[in-house]
Amino acid sequence: MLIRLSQLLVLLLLIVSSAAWAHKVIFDVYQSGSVIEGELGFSNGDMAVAQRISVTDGAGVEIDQVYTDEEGFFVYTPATQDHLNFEVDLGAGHVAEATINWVPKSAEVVTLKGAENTEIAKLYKPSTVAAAEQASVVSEVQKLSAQVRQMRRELRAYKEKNDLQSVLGGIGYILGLVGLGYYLAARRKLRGD
Amino acid sequence: MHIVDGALSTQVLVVGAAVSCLGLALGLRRMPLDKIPVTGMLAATFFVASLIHVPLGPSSLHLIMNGVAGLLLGWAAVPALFIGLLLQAVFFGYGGITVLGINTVNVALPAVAVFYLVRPFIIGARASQGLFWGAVGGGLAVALTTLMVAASLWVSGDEFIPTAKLVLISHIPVVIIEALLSGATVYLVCKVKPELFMGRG
Repeated sequence: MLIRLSQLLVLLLLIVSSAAWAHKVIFDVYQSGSVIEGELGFSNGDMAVAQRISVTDGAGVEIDQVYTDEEGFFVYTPATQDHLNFEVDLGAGHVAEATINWVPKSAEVVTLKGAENTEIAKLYKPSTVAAAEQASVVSEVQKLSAQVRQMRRELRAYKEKNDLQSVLGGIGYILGLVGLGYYLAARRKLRGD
Repeated sequence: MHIVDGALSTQVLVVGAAVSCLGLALGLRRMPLDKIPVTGMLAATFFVASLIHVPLGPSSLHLIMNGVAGLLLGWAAVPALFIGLLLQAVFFGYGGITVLGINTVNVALPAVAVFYLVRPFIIGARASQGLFWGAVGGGLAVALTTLMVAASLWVSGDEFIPTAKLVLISHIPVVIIEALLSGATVYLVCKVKPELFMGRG
């Protein structure tokens, strides 16, 4: 009776706990136009909320700090051009860092030097663009940015997914090592005999 | 329970690597032919169990199973747990290569401690006693691992008491689950193959 109970307990615990997988800290930082955006969370999809992130310069000196929002997302606007390092400590040994070479995107300002007299230049002059059209473009860019962010999340979740093949691959390696161990132990024993 | 790359000081990493190398050498020397399958099986158990997490509030914890490994293997638990940690780091990025040594020490030394502290009570014991001592061994191994993780972080600059509290309190459910699981496993082994607890370890 107790044997059956213990077998059932082992099986039950394994089934219950296999509902999900272990996680690790995921920390991404990327340049988005004139700001730096980033996300902090775990590989199981949970995001780190209101987490302090330390910003250090190339010399390792803390120059600023930023906090994640309720979606684990943060936006940081650097004051100067530099090699920036973002560090986070979630406690109990869960640390992560990400580095970015911050280069302000001044190149985004379109210059049409030498083309002032052409029809194209006239077309692209700010004065010719209606305010409503500008608002529409900004709105489209914001939508696109949100979509790219979502795609980044999905891509990361896909990369972090522990599929069965990897688990079976790991067990396969262990079996291989057991075989190797047997071979070495048998050789040692034969030498002894 | 996996400390990641970059969380610990160089001194801790070096000491961890050195101690784990000694443990590996001792574990491999004390692994007779008939213990190899059990070692492989427990390495696979640890490898898979650590990938499985137990949801707890906003976070989640994973099983370790180092207590059972220690009770059955003794020093041979060191190579078994090392292989599990190495494969987890390579396949899934859990922990890391530079922290492999200290992670091995934190998980495997409590297993060896449980071997010496608890296993004498299991040898020749009735299955019901094995259930109790198995639970004690499983829970104790996890508790010791949390303390060693906290100590590793403390030596690297964190404050010991708050870190130890955080790690230990957050792992109380794991201690309980592992105690149940280890108790049930030891009970089964006592019933069907008690000779697995023989040998010097």
